[in-house]
Amino acid sequence: MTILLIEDDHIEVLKLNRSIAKLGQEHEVVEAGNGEEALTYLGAHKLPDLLLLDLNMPKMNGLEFLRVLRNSDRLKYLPTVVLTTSVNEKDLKEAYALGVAGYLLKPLKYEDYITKIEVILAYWKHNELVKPK
Amino acid sequence: MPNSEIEILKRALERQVQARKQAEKILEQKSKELYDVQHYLREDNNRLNHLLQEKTSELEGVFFNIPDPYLVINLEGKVVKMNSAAKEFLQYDIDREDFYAAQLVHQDYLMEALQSFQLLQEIGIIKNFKTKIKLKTGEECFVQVNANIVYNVHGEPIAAQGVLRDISMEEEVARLLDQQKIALEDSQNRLATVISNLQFGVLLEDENRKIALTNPIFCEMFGMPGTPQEMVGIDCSGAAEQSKMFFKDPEGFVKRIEQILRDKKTVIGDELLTVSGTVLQRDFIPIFSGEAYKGHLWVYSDITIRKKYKDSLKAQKEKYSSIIANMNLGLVEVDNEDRVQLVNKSFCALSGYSEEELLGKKLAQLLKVSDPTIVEKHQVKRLQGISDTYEVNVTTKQGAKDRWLISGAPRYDQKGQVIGSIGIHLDITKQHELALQKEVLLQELEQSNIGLQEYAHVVSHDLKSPLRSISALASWLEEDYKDKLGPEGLTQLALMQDKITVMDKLITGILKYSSVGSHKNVFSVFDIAPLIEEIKSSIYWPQHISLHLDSELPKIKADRTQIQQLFQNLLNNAITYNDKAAGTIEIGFEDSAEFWNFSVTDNGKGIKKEYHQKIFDVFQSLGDNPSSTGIGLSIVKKVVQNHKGSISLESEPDKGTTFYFSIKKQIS
Repeated sequence: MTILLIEDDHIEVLKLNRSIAKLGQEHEVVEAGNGEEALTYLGAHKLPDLLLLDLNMPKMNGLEFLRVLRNSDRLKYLPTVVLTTSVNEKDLKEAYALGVAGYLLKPLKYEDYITKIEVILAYWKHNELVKPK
Repeated sequence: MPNSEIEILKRALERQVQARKQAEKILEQKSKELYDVQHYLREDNNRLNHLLQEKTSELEGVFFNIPDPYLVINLEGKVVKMNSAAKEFLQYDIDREDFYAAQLVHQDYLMEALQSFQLLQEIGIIKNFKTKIKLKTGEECFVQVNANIVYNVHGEPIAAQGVLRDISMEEEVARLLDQQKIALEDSQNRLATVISNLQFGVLLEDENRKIALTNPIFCEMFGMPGTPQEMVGIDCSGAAEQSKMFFKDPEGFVKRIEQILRDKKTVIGDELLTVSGTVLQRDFIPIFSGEAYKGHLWVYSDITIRKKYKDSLKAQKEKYSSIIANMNLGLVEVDNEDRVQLVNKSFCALSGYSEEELLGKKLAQLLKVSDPTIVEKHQVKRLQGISDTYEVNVTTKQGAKDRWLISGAPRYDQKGQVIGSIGIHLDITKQHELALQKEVLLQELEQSNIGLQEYAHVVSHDLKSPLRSISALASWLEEDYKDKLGPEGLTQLALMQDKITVMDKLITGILKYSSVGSHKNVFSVFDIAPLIEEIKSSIYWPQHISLHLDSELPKIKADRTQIQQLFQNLLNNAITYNDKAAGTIEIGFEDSAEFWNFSVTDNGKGIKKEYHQKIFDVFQSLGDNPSSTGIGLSIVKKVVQNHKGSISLESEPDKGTTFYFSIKKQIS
C-alpha cells in the first residue's frame, strides 16, 4: 500500500517507518508536514491507499484538511484514519462527522503503538478501495 | 134745666149740624172723586191690557228671535213652535214634520227628562236642567234647558216654552277637568305615600308657619304627639324652642333655625348632634311661587352610620396618605392618557421634577422612556383590569439615565370604569447595573471555562506528544543499543519509562479534573444500583474483594457521568488500598429531606487522621502507591460540590475507611 502520513512531529514519522520495517511489511510511506503539504502532494501524484492523519498541526490542521477532502470529488473516497494523542469529545465527533475511517489514540508505549499499527494496516490491506481514474 | 145747660146743648147741636153738612159735602166730593177715579181706572185698565198684549207679543218675538234655540211644546210634548236657531241646531223643522220633544232626548237621559217635565208642570219653571240630546243627524250633544209653563187667561197651563243652550264644550272641559283632578289626586296620594315612607323626616310649613305636611319619621324624631295627619295646621313658630332639648347645643339649634328662616335661602347638609348620640343632617328648602314666599321644607336624615363610616374612611385615608407621602417608593396616579394626577414626595425625588412640573404632564414623554411601546402595552393591560410589573429606562430632570421597576394597577371610578392607573416606582438602576455586570461576568466565565477546557486539551496534547516521543526514543535506545548499555543502562532506561508513565497519568488526571464542572451539569433521573454494577464490570475487580449494596439504594436526579466518576474513583481507591485477604466494600444510603446521603466503607489500610483533609487536594497522594496521581479524590470532591453536597470521612488505620457524601435533591 501507499500510505500518506500527515504529521508534523519528526519522531512520529520515524516511529511509523520503524514500525513498518519491524513488522516486515512492504508499504510505501509518504510524509507531509501538514494539511497544505498533503494537498499539494495529492494534487500532483497518484492517490495513496490510506491516509494517517494527525489532528494538531501547524498551518492547516487535521480537521480543516478533512473538510477540504470531503468537498473534493477526487479525494473524498480516501480512507483516513486519525492518529492523535488525546481524546477530545468535540474533536472525536467532528472527525466522524467528516467521515473518518478510524480514530486511533497514540499509546504511550512504543510496543503498544506497533500492535495498533499492525492491526490497522492489516485491516486496510484487505479492504476494497475506490480507485479514481 | 138751667139756661146754661140749654145753651151748651144748643151749641153742641149746632156743631153737629155743621159737621154733618161738612161731612156730606166731603162725601159728595169724595164720591165724585171716586167716580172720576173709577173712570180713570177703567181707561187705565184698558190701556194696561193693551200694553200687556203688546208686551206679550213683544216677548214672544224676543224669544223667537234670540240666537239660542227656542221651543214651545204643548202639554203632550209635541213641538208647536221653534225658532230658526232651533231648526238649525236640532235639524228638525215643524213646518215639514211633526215631532215630539221626547224624540230629541238621548235614551240614557229619557227617564230624567220625563221627571223634570213633570216637575215643570207642577211648579211652572225649571232652570239650568242639563241633558243629553240626539240630533237628527245622530250627533249627540249636551244642552242646558230653561223652561216655563205658559198659562191661558184663566190661569190654566196650555204649553211649555224653553230655551236650549249647547253646552257640549263646557261638558267636555268639565270632564277633562274631572280627569285632571283625579290624576292630580292620584299623584297627590302617591306623593303622600312616598313622603310617609321616606327614610328621613320631612316637614312642610306654609308661609304662616303652619304644618302643611309631615311624615311618620319626622314625628318620631321630634316626639310629636300625633299622627302626621293630625299635625297638619299646627303652628310651628314655637317648635324650635320645644325641640331644642333633643340637641347637644340647644341654643345653637334655635339660633341657627332663626337665621335660616330670616335668610330664606336653601341650606343643605347642616349637621346636628343629638343628645342620644345620633347625627342628623338637616336640609332647608324655601318654596316660592313666583316672587311670593309660600313656605319651606325641612328635611332631617339620620346620618349617624354614614358619618361614622365617613369618619373612619377619612382616618384611614389620612393614614394611607401619610404612608404614601413618606414611603420610599415613588407613587403616581395617571389617567387613561398617561397624564399625571397625583404624585408623592418620593416620586418627585426619583424623577427630579417638582409636583407642579409633573401634574397634568404625560409621564412617559416627560421622562423620555427609552421604549414608549412598553408603557403603551401595559396601559392596554390596565384598561383590561390587569396589574403587572415591568422595567423601563428613564431620563430624570437632571439627565441621569435611570432604570425603574414599575408595579402598575388599574384605577377605577365608583362605577367600576378604569380611569387610569396607579404605579409604584422603584429605582433599580444600581441593581440593574449589577445584574448586567453579572450577566457579562457569567458570559465571560462561560467563555473562559470553554477556553480553559480547550486549553487543557491543548496542553495535555502538547505534553503528551513529546512524552510519547521520549518513550519511543527510550525504547529504540534499548532496542538498538542493548548490548552497549549493559544491565545498569537498561535498568535506568526502565526507570525512565516508569517515570514517563506516571507523567502521562498525571496529565490525563489533570485533564479529567478540569473537565468536571467545566460544562453545565446535565441532570437526569437514574438508579444508583445499576450504575454501581456497571462500574464494577468496567474496572479491574479483584476476586478477593466483595461488594455489598444497601437494598434501599435510591433513584436520584443528578449528572450521571459525574456521579459515575465519583463512585468509580471511590471504588478504585477502596480496591487499590485494600490489604486484607477478604476485602469488603459496602455502599450505604440514608435519605433526608434535602439530601441523598451515601457512604462507601472498606476494610482496607485506613487513612491517618492528619491526612483527612489533605487527601481531597489536587495532586495530594499519600505516596505509598507509585501509580497514584493524587487526583482521584479531588475529582470526587469536585463532583460533590457540583451537586451542592458535602463529603467527609471516618477512618481507622488498618481497620478501614468510610467516605460519607451527600447529593442535594433537585427542586423541580
